Amino acid sequence: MICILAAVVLICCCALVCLSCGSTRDSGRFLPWFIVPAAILGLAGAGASLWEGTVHTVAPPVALPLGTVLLQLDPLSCVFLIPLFLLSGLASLAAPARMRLLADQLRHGRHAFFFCLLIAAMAMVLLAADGALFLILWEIMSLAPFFLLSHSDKTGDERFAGWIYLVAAHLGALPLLLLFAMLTTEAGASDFTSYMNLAGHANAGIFLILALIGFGAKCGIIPLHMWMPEAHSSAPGHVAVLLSGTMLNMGMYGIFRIVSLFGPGDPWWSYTLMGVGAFSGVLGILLGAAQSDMKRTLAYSSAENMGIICMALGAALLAGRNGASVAMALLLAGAFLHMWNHSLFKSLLFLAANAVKEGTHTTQIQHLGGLYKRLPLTGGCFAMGAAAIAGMPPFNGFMSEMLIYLGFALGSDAARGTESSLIFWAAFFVLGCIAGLALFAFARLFGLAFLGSPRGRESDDACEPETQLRLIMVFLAASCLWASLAGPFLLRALRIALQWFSQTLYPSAPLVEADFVLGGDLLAWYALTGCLLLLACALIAGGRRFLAAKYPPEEGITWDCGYCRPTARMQYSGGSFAHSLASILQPLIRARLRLPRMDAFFPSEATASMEVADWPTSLWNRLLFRPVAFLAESAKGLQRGLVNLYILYILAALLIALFWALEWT
Amino acid sequence: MIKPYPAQYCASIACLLLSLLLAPLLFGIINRVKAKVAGRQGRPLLQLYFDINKLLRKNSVYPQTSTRFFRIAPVAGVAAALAALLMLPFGGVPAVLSFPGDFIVMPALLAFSRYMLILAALDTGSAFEGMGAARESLFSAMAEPILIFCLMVLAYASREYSLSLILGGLPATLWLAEWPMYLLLAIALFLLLLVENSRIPVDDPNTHLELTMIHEVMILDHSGPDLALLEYSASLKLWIFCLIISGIAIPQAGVWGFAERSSPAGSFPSFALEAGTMLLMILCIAALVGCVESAMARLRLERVPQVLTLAGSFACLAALSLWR
Repeated sequence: MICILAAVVLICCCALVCLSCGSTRDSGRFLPWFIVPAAILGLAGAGASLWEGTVHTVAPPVALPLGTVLLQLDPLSCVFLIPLFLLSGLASLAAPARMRLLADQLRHGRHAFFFCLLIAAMAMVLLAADGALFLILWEIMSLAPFFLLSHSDKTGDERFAGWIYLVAAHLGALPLLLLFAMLTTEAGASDFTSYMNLAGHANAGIFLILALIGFGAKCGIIPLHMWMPEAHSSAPGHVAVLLSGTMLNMGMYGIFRIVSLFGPGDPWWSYTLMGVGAFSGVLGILLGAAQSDMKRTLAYSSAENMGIICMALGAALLAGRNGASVAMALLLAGAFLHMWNHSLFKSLLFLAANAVKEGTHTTQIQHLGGLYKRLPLTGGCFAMGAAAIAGMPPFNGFMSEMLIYLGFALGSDAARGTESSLIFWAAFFVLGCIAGLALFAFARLFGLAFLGSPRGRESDDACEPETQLRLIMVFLAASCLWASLAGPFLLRALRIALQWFSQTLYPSAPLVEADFVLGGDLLAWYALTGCLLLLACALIAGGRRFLAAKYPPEEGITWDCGYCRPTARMQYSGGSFAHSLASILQPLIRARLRLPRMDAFFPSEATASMEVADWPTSLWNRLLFRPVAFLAESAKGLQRGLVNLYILYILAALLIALFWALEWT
Repeated sequence: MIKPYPAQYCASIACLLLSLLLAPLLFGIINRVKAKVAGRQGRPLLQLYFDINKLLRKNSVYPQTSTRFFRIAPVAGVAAALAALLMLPFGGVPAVLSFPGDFIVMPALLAFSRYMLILAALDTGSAFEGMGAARESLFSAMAEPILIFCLMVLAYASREYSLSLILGGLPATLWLAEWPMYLLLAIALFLLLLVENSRIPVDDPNTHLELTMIHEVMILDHSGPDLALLEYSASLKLWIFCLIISGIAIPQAGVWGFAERSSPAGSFPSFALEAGTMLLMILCIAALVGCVESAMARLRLERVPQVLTLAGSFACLAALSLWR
C-alpha cells in the first residue's frame, strides 16, 4: 500500500514539475524520470500484495463532502494495478519523443500534466473504497484524456474526437452518479463495506444495469463505444497506450467491483453479462474487420476483447451458481488473464501503428503496403501482436481464450440437460466465431499494410522510430510470447485474487486450490505445445536451409499467372478483402458500396469504394442525439434578449409557484 | 488422463510415423477414384510422393516483393500439422501428447498454419493470391467455430476433455446409445473436411482458371521445396480431418473385448487390429471424397456459406439430440 501511495505521490510531483515548466519545448523529458521509478514501486507493491492476497486499508483523516477518504488495496485492485503501472511506465518512456514530434501542435507542460494526472487518477480509482471519493476520482480520470486528445485543435477530426469523448464521458458518468447516489441513500453510508450489506437488495438488478451502462461506456462495450474509434485513432501513441491498455480496464474494474459487491445476483445477471459481451464481441470484430484505418480496426477489436471478458464473467457467475467450481475457476482465470493479455498486445499494436503513422503520415490501409521491407522491426513486432490478438499459438492471446473455452465446456457439462448448458454451448460457439473473425481481421490488417508492394507513395521515406520506442516494442512483443510460456506462473499469481473474488460471490463455497489444477495443467501443456511448435519450425527450417544451400533459390517477379506487369494497384485492397464478408453479413456490418455505373461502350475512369459506417452510433444519433439537439435548438427561441420578455417569464414563474403552493396546502 | 507406459508410447509413435508416411497417399486415392469413375486410367497412386521428391530437388524462385513471411509459411504449415498430429489418437492408440483441453488447442494449431499461409499469399502482392487469401480467411472464419463446436459436443458426450479419450477408444456402448449424434457429427465434419481442404463443392484444385480457386491460387508463387512442404502440409491436414472422422465413425473395441478404455496394456495384435481398422476407414473416407468430387460440380462462391451453414446445422442437431 505504501509503495503504491508513494508511486502516486511521485506521479503527482511529476505533474506539478511539468506544469511549472510551462510550455517549454522539453517538459516531456521529465516524464520517464518520475514515472518509471513510480511504476517500478507500484508494480512491486501491487505484485507483492497480489501474491500474498493481503488487504490493506488506509483512512486518512480528511473530510470529503458526502463521503470519507477511504483507500483500500484488495486483490481485485492489485490485478488491475499491475497492467496500469507496467504500461504507464512504458508509455512514459515513449512519451518524450512522441511529444517532440508533435512539438508545434502541443503545449508541452499542459500535455505532460494531464498525462500524469490520468495515470495518478487511474491508480487512485483502483484504491478508492468510498462512493463519493470514487466518483470524484473517476471524473478526474474521465476528463484528463480530453485534454490529451484535444492537444491540437487544428484539424476537424481531432476536435471531433475530443468533443465526442467529452460527451461520452459525461453521459457515462450520469448513470454512475445515479448508481452511487442510490447506493449511499440505501446503505446510509458511502463506503464500500456498507454497500456490501445491500447484497441481495431488491434493487440490486438496477445497480447492475446502471453499472453496465456507466462502466460499459468507459470500456467501450458496443453499443456504448461511440467515443472509442475516434479517440483511439486520433490519440498519439503514448496516449493510445494509456487509453486502450489501461483505461478500458478501468471500466471492466467497475463491473467486476459491482459484481463482487452485490454478486452473484439472479440468473439473469449472467445472461445479461453474457449477452452484452457476445453482442459486443461479435459486432466489435465485424466492424473492425471492415475498417479501412489501422487504428480504427484496433479500437473496434478492443470492444471485442472487452466483450469476451464480459462473457467470461457472466459465465463464471452461472457456473458458480450451478456448482461447477472448476469451470468457474477456469472462466475467472481466463477473464483476468485475457485482461492482462489484451493490455499487452493492444498497447504493442497501438505503438506499432503509431510508428507507422509517424513514418508515413497515414494509417489508411489503401495507402500502405510493403511496409515490412521498410520497417522490419516495427513490422515484426506488429506481426507478433497481430498473431497474439488473432489467437495464434504459441502467443498469449489464445492462452486466455483457451481457458474460457474449456470453462464453457466444463460449465455445460456440470449443467447437463438444463437450459444453462445450452447457454454455455451458445457462448462457446460465439467465442469460436469471434476467434475466427479475429483471424480474418488481423490477417487482413497485417497482410495488407505490411506485406505486398506499396500502394501509394506514402511509405517511400518511412523509417524506423527511435531506439527507445523500438526497445519498448520489442519488450512488449517478447512479453506476448513470454506470457504464454509463463502461463502456470501467471495463474499462480492470480490464484489468490480469484479465490478472494469467488469468496465475495459465494462465501459458502469459494474456490479452493484444487479447482485451479486443471487450468494450471492446461497452461503448462499449452506452453509445452508452443515450445514444440517453435522447435518443429526450427528443425524444418534447418532442413529447408540445408536444401537451399544445395539448390540456391532465385528471385523473380511475382508470377501472377503469367501476367508480366503486375502493378501495386492490382493488389487486393482493404475494401476488396472485406467485401465478401460484408456482403454475407450485410445486416450486421451495413457497409455501403459505391460501384461505378458503366453504361457507355467505352467506360471512362471510375472508382469503387466501400464505406463502413458505424451503425450503432448512427442509431444513437437518430434516436437520441438528433432529437435532443432539435429540442435544444427550439428552446433557443425562448431566449430573445428582450428584458420585458424575461419579466414576463418571471411573472409567469411566480404565478405558477403561487398556484402550486396554494394547491399543495 | 491416460497413464503413460512404454508399450503405449511406442504404439503412439509408430502410429504418428505411419500418419506422416501415408498422408500423401490420400490425394492419390482421391485422384484414382475420380479417374476410375470418369473411365480414365488416372495418375499413379504415389504421384504426390514423386512430386514431392522431385520438388525437393529443385530450387525455389521467390517473388521480389516477398519477405520472410513468404518463406516461413510452408515451414509453419508442416510444423503446425505435425503438432496437431501429436494430439490426435489413432483409433484406440492414444496420442503422443494428451491433456485435458487439447481438443481446443488442436484446431488453433490448424488456424496457425492457415494464418501463415494467408500472410504468405498476401506477401506476393498479386491480385490472384490476395483473392485466394480473402476467400480462404472468410471461409475458415466460418468453418473454425463449427469444427471446435463439433469437438466440444463430442467432449460433452464422452465427458472427457482430451482428444485421446474423446475420439480414441470410443466405447461401443456409448456409440450404440448415441449413434444418431455421432452420425450427424460425422456428416458435419465431412462437410468441414470438404471446405477446409478445398475439395470440390467448395473449390476445384484441378481447374485451369485461377479465378475460381481458393487454396491452389494461394500457393501459385511457391516453388521448389517450399511447394513440396505446402503440398505435404495440405495432405497432412486432409489426413487429420480423416482421422477425426474415422475416430467418430468407428465404435472402438469394447464389443470385441480388447483395448478397453482404462485398461493399461493392449497386446500388440489388438493395437495392430485397431490401427488396421482406422487405416481402412481413412482410406474409405478418401475414396468417398473422390466419389463426391466425381458426382458434383463446384458450387458458386456465394453458395459456399450455405455448405457451412449446413455443417453448422448438423452440428447443432447433434448437440440438441444429446441435450434432449
